[in-house]
Amino acid sequence: MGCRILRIVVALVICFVAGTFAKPANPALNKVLVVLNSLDQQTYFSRFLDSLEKRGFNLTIKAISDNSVSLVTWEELAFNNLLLLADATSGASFTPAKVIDFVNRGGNVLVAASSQVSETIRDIAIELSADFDEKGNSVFDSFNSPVKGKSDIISAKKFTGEHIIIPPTLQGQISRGELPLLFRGVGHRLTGKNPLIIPVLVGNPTSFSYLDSTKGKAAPLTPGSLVGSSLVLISAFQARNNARVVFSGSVDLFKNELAEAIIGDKKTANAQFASELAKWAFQEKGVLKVINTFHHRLLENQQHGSYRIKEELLYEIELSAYYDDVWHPYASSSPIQFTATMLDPYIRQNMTLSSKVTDTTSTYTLPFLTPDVYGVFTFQVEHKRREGYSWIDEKEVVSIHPFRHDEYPRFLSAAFPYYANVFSIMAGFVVLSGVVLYHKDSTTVAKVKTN
Amino acid sequence: MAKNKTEQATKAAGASATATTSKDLNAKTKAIANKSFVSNQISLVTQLVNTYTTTTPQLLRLIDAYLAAVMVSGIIQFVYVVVVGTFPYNSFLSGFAASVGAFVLAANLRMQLNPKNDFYSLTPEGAFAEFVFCSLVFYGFVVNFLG
Repeated sequence: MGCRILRIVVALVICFVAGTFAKPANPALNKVLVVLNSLDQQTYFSRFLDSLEKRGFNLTIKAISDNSVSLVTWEELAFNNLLLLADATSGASFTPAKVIDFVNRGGNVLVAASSQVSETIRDIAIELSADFDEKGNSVFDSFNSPVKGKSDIISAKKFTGEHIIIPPTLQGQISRGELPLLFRGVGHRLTGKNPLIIPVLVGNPTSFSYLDSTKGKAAPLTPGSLVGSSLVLISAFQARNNARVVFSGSVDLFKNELAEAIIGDKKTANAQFASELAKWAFQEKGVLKVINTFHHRLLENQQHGSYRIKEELLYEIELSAYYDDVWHPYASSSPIQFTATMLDPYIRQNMTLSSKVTDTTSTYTLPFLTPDVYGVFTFQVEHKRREGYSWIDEKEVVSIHPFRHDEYPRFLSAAFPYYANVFSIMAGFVVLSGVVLYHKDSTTVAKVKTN
Repeated sequence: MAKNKTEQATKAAGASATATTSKDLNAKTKAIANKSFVSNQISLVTQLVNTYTTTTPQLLRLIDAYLAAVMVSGIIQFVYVVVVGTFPYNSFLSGFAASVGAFVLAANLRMQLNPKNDFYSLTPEGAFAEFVFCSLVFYGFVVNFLG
């Protein structure tokens, strides 16, 4: 009986521990600030917010007009993630400067707008070179509007690029129309000034952005209007400090209304899509971690801070990728490169995935010959690809020294004549010294003495 | 002074006269001169050898033998490095430098022991001590660099 109780207690403790260490890659970073137009809008998003809470996030819900909230307190992040669902109104606590500062300090942001997009959201977006269409514009698509009479609710189908933000299976279901993804809101364009922002979901070939009040019926479009794939619906940005920002043109995409809608006899993909988007934005997937780096001489197994020139080394880096709630071994789709630089890169080579794989980590290795130049080198693995994984930038300073005095090869057969010469000359020196000391030549001595 | 004057005179007077007849004369005098040049050279060398063997002190001659041997060893090493290649370059430098240095030091010793040279108040014993000290330091470097 006691044993049983103990078991239950242990099980509960494990559950509790597992619960608290639940979902984000770093479980300590689970504080989310949800910002709404007004607190009573909370019910519109209940499905989405509940799913976040279930995944272990600690939500704080505030209205955007609440001036008592601050993202940063005492120079530290008060929240790790910001969910900005206040599409239409602005507040003094959430000015663009404050949000950008939050991102610079490593905070993640998910911003949702609508055709009532506020200037605040437009200003935040333009900082990261996403240019939302002006207030009053809406995305229309007369050929892909599943709800009759509402051409501003479109079913978005077109994904761009190779990325892990939305899983390929879900992408396939959405683009084939098996699970319609309903989108109602404003479009944006990427100005192209920021290479770190990538489009996730773009307009169908028949989509366009036009004045909301016309219900999409007044033609023609002005030149420079957003149409087709240049009309970005959702884009994702990963800063150099690995903070992530997602811009969604539609706040309704996260609402219960569209998540629960039934199109014909099909459920919508909205709930699943929204949660995948939030998973990426809040570091629940595509998070890479360097477990360990290790470099050693090829025949040794110990790391040193200094190596000789022209020495065979092996560099290893142990990587782990977080998705589906656990750490996995990471196998990159693109090559991971190792670089040894001293002002210029002396070595830049692709590493190979070694057979040393554990449950959670994989190891990339590269055997290489240290350069024939001595000095202070930086061994670096810089892996920055626009596929949604966090950046890796691992640096270590290693000095490379020339041959030590006793490291040169000795007693070479080719050098024997030189050795023989040196020692014979030294013997000759001894003989000459003896001759000079003990030579008896009366005339010479007399002459020297008279001098 | 007198010699200078006569040279000037012959130049001024015979500048044009000698030009015409000089070809024949030159050929004849050259043949004679060649003959006498060779015999002159031979007699010079024999005289040099005679003087060297008779007047040079035996000690200096022994040092000269050492110098010659050291020079030959240097030449042999140079030929060797040209034929075999520079691979243990430090060894070659060291061996070659040993020959050159030994030659220089012994030559200095010879100059100081030569009674015809006046090296101020330096005694032969002092010169020898200098030679030994410098040689020891020098061979230290040579062996260190030999590899």
